[in-house]
Amino acid sequence: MERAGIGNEYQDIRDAAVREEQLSVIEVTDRVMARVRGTEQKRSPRGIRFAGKTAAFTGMLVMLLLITVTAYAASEYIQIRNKAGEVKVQHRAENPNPGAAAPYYEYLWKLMDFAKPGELIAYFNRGEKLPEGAEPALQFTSKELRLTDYPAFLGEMNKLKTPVLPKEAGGYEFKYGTIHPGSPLAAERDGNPLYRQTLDELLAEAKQDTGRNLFMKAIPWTEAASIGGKYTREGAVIEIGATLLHGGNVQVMLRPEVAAEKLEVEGREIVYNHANKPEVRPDISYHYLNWYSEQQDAYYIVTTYGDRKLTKEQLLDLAGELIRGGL
Amino acid sequence: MRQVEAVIIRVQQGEQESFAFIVDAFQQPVYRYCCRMLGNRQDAEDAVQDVLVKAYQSIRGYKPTVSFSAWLYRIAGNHCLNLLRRRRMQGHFLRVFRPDTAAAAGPEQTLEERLYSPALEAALGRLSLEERNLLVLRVFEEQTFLEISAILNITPNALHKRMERIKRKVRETMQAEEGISWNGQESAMSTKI
Repeated sequence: MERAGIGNEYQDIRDAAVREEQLSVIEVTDRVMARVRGTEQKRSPRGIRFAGKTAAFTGMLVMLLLITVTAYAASEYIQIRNKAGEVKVQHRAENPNPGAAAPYYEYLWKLMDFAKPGELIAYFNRGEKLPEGAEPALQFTSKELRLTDYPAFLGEMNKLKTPVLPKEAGGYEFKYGTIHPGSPLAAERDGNPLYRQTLDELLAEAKQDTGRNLFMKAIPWTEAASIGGKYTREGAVIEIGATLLHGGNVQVMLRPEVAAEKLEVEGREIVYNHANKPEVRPDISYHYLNWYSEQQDAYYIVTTYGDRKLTKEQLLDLAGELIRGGL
Repeated sequence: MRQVEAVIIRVQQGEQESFAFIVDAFQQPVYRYCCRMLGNRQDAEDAVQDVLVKAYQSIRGYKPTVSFSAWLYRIAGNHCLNLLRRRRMQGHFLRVFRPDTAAAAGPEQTLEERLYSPALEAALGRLSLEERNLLVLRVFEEQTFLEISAILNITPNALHKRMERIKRKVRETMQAEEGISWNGQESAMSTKI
C-alpha cells in the first residue's frame, strides 16, 4: 500500500487527526497464520457442500421470502409484554428525519477524555441550550469498562447483581466483557444528598471559573446500565448484550431494510431481525436476535459476524442455550 | 511489489506458509486504515486479523488486473463498513426509557482513544459510511483517484466530484464545531436539580 503524495489539499483535515506515527505498531503475524492454518484444515469443497440441496434450498428461500414479507408488514408493531400486560419492548419504524445531532455530542469528547474506564461522571454544562420549559440539571454520562479476564468480569457482574454472561457461548470463547455504569433515577437524585452536593460543588466551581462552561466530577455508582460480551472462534464473532431496564421499557427503531418476526424459543418470545432487502439496501445483509427477560428485566441482543456468520437456526439454537443458561 | 506478486502466486499454488510474508508486509497499513475507519485501536487490531484471514481465503480468486493493495483495501473496506453498520445499528436504534424520565439513553459512543479532534470527529459523524471510506482513502491513505477507482469500482471523475462534496461538508462542520464557545453566559445561577 504505497503512498502517492497529494500535496497540501487536505492538510487541515489531516492536522485534525492523530499522526500516523502516533498509531501503535502491531504484530499479528503469528495470530493470523494460526487462523490461516486452521481455516485450511476445515475448508470443504463448496460444490460438494451444496450438491443435491438446490431444490430444497430454493423451496426454503421461497418460504423465507413469504415469511419475511408477511413479517415486515407487521414488524413495526411488534411488542413484548410482561406478565402484567405492560409493553416492555415496542418496535417502531425509524424516523427518516431524526434532525440535527444533539448538543450533547459536541462536548462528549471532553467528558470521555476526563473519565476513566468504568466511571460515572456527573456534569453541568453552563452553555447548553435546553428545550423550551426545561430546567438545567446535573447530567450524567459514563465510560465503558472493558475486561478481558473472565473471572474479573464475572466478579464485576456478581458484585453489580447483573445477569451473568457465560464464559463460552455456542462453542465461542470469551474475548472481553463490557460494563456501562448506570445513571441514578430521578427518585435517587432527589433522595440522595450526594447529587445535590455534587451540583452545588460544580456550580461553585462554575462561579469561580468563567473561562469554561463544562464542569464535571466522577461519582460513585451501584447499578449497571448494560453489560456485553464478545465471543470469538477463529475469525467468527458473536456478541451478547444486555440492557438493564430497571423498570423501564425499550423502543426499537427499525431501519427500513430490517424485517422482524416474533418466534418462540424455550418458551421465551424472541424477535428475529433480518436485514436483507436488496431493493432498499443492496449492499448489506445481517441478522440478529432480541428478547426480553422478565425475571431480570433485561433486554438482550445477540449478533453474529466475522469470517462465518451463524445461520438463523444456529442463532436460535444459541438463544436456546443462553436462555437455558439463565439469560 | 514484484516480490509480493511472486509470493501471491506461490500462495495461490498452495504454499500456505508464504502468506506470512504478505501478513508482515501489509499488517501495518491495513491496521492504520482500520484505525481511521473504526476510530478505535482495539477494534482495528481485531479487524486487521479478520481482513488478512479473509484475504487468504479469497487469494485464489485474486487476479493482477488490479494491484494487490487495491484488492486488500477493498476487503478491508467492506469489513470495516460492515462493522460500522452493525455499530450504528446497535448504537442508534435502541432507546431505553427509564420509568422516571423521557430522556433517551442509548449506548454511549466510546471515544476513549480519540483519533480525531472533536471538530473532525463531529464532521465524520455526519458523513455516510461510504463517504467516510472515501475520505480515509484519499486524505489519510493518500491514494490517487485512479487507485481509489480500482478499490471502489467508481470512475475517477465521479470520485473527484464526490470528494469535493465531502471536503466541503467536512470543512463546514469543522468550522461550525470549532466556533462553539465554551465561554457562555452566567446562566448557571438559576440551575436546579
